[in-house]
Amino acid sequence: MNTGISRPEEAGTDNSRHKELDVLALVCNWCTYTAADLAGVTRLHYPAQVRLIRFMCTGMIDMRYILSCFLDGADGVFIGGCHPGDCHYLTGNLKARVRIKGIRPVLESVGIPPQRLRLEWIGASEGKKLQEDLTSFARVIEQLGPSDYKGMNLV
Amino acid sequence: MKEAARALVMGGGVSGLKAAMDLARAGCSVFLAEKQAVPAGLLLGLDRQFPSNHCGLCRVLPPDPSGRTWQACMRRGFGHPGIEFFPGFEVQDIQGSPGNMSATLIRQTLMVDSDKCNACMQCVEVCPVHMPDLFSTGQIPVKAISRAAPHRPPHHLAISLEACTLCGRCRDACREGAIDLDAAREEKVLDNLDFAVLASGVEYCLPEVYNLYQSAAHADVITTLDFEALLSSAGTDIMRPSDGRPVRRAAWVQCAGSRSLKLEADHCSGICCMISLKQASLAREKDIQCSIFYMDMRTSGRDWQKYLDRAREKGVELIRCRPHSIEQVPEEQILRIPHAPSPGNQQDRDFDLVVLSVGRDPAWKPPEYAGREGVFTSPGSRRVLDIARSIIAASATAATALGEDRQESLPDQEAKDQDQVHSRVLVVGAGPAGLSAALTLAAGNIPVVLVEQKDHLGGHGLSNISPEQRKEVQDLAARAMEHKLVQVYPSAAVISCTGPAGGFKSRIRDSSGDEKEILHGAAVLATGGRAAPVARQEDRTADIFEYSRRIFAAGNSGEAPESVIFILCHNTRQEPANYCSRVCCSLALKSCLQTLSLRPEAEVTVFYRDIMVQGDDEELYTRARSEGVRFIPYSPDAPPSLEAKDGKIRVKGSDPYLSEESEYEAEQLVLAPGVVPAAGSEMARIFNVHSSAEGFLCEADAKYRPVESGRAGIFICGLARNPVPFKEAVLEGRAAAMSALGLLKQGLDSRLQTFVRVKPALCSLCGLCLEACPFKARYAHEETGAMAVDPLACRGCGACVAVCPNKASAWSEQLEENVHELN
Repeated sequence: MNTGISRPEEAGTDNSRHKELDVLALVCNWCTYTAADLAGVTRLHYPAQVRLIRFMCTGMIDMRYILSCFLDGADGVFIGGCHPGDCHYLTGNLKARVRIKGIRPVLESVGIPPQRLRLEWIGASEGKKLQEDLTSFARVIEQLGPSDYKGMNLV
Repeated sequence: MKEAARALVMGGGVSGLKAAMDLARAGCSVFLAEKQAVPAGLLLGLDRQFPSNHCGLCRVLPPDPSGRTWQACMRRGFGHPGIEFFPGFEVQDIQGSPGNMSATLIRQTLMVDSDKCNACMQCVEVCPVHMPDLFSTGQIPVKAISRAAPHRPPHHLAISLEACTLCGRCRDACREGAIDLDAAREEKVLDNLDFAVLASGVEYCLPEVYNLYQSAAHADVITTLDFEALLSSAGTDIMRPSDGRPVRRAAWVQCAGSRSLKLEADHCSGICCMISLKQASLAREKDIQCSIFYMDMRTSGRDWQKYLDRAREKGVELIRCRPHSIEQVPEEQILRIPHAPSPGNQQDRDFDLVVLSVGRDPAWKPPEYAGREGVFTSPGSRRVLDIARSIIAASATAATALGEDRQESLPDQEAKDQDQVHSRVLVVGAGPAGLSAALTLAAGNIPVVLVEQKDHLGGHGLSNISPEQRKEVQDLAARAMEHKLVQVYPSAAVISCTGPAGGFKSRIRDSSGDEKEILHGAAVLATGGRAAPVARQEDRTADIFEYSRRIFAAGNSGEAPESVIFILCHNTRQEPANYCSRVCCSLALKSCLQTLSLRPEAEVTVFYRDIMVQGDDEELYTRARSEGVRFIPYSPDAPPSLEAKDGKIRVKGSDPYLSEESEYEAEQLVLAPGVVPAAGSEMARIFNVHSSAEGFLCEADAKYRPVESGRAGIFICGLARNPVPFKEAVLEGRAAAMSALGLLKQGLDSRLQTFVRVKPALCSLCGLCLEACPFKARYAHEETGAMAVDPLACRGCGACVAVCPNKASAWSEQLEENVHELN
């Protein structure tokens, strides 16, 4: 199997600007991770500060994981799952959607702008969409700057 | 105990994968040969499949907590502990007799050594041979050496030996020495095989070979397979192959290479209508104007008619007409289709792109060894089947092969009780599907309890019009009565079923009111269906089942009416029974032909919406027309009106070919109201599974797990699941039995592992995990009330782990280490 951490070569000049920012992408094994593989072999570049973490299903992404990502210094958390109806486990992606809706006010109440968390549906053959979504998300994070929790090492 | 059977599966598409995985689960050691470098066959290029328009190949993978089975999209690879996979090999010949067969495999695709290759692509650069790529028939040329599949890493290059000239330039260009052309002549011989399963599918028709619509001359005339590549979400907008302009108007032309006497292709390929509907629906989402030229829209599946209705709502235009030609308008760079949607109404329509809906190659024949003893051919390798039917056919073929081969492969009774898994299977319904399921299980040494509502076995199979099929059902019934592992309960019904998979408890009530509790590990529901009722206001009206039985009853000495009118799709294929029943059309055609053979001067008229005959049954339609049966299409908005007068039936309908209202008189009226499930919603309630609005039992996944219900351990088949003809009911019964057998085998495996466990000390019994589980794998233990996991139902999604507020729900120890590990 391929590596879970992807750090594309920092060849693109575009990437070097926001090197210090950390974006975690929690992606599902069946669709989005396959899309990431496809993006890789198609040699599509996505921003270098994005780290992919493979989950079997977005439905197993506990709210606590998202919180600990932020508390541990992530500047943005991206969640990529299967399109509704495509979930290998029937409804895992819908569970993720509900959970993310629920966690946004929590994030806001502790001073994390909800824009730092994004959910996207990316199918197995949408390598291009993965690149576009990650790039646009990284741009948003770049505009927001480093998170207030950065460096506090609360976890 | 006999040693595990050695089985060869030919073809690594969805059929081959399914057959191989089923055989491996049943304990065989399996060899899988696939001529491409990667598994999944055609599905590599199909991103979205009807009727859900979703992707889902991964759902055929069995869940495996040990992590030894490949658990990721199969386009990236494939691995299974019981299957030895030979990518790049095709079976050339099979010799010997069952138990001692040997197969010769020759290389079709040569893989570049991926350990050495550094993906510099020099080899691709120097390769002089261009060929069509795997997913299209020539629109996107690639080199003979190219990446095995888009999802594969770039150092997984492969050489197609069909195209390769072995010129050696790639070998010379490779600085790493990763290309070994000597291996091109490599042969493998597999000895001591017990049996082989042929599941390599059929070849698709290439329009340029048959010069269909001068497709070779027009770059913008492509096939549905090519269009699939354009539609792939890996691409961007849909562009014309000729000049790269975006496509605004596209047409699909059905039956290219099928239903043609000129090409000696008197068959229907069966799935092209749905493929075109899917492609047009998806193209509509990109705002392309879509028109489909068709003769009969053959939406012959349970949910397919509704899919057609949805496509129409999306704005897909359906034109009933077979175009004779496609013309190029030179100065405008567009394609023109002259056609006549109604008599005398000659029209021209212009399109940017024309897609030919291709099916089976008319000249295609199964390989020579297909008919040998010990070689079991999946029906999917005789004709084109959609995914669900391919999977059913593959499972059923694996079951047949196993049934004839093995005597013993499951552990004995003691081991089973120790694991709390009962090996018995409850089969409900003893029609063709139920009987086949019961006997397949019994052949696999699984005790069966067969419950039938009637006092005799056989169901509708006993009133089949074909004497051979009647005989087959009688044989099945007799074998079931005699088999020592099959316990038959006639005149009985199941009234409840509780417990988790592997440990079901059901109550059976017989006609005298006595109840009996049965412990079983799995259940197969085959409760069948019946003819939908017809309102019989007029005399001399019969339904199609009644009429066909009557006219076939006396063989060739019976009597036939002097005039008969058939009305097909009577109150069906529209709400509330919006599905095709699949049996009526071929039954009607057979009855027409029988009527004419009994009384050659009889006047036979058929009012129809679409004639739904598939595969070689198309010949029936051709014969009926040539023998003078009058076919008149009608639309459901204006059904023919009926009137009884002077002992005759008068039918008024508008004949679109004569463009006028006509009146027909007949002695006999035959209506085809379709079939309805017999006990669907009742069964759904008792067994706690889903059923559709029409009462059909619903499967876990319409494409990839067609005989499994949403509740683990409960399998569904035959008419109770969807309308099926006799032969398919038998296949579904076998496939359901094969799945049940596999599940029990997995449950009986002494190394049974689960994905998740419950830590009782931390559990507060809040029940959140019960709600979160999409597979109903969580339950409160009957005695202790503690939360428990049903290992046979759990598929390892982790939803319960995520919702648990106390961390009482946890991954199993083996998984904990590697689930979040960044491997």
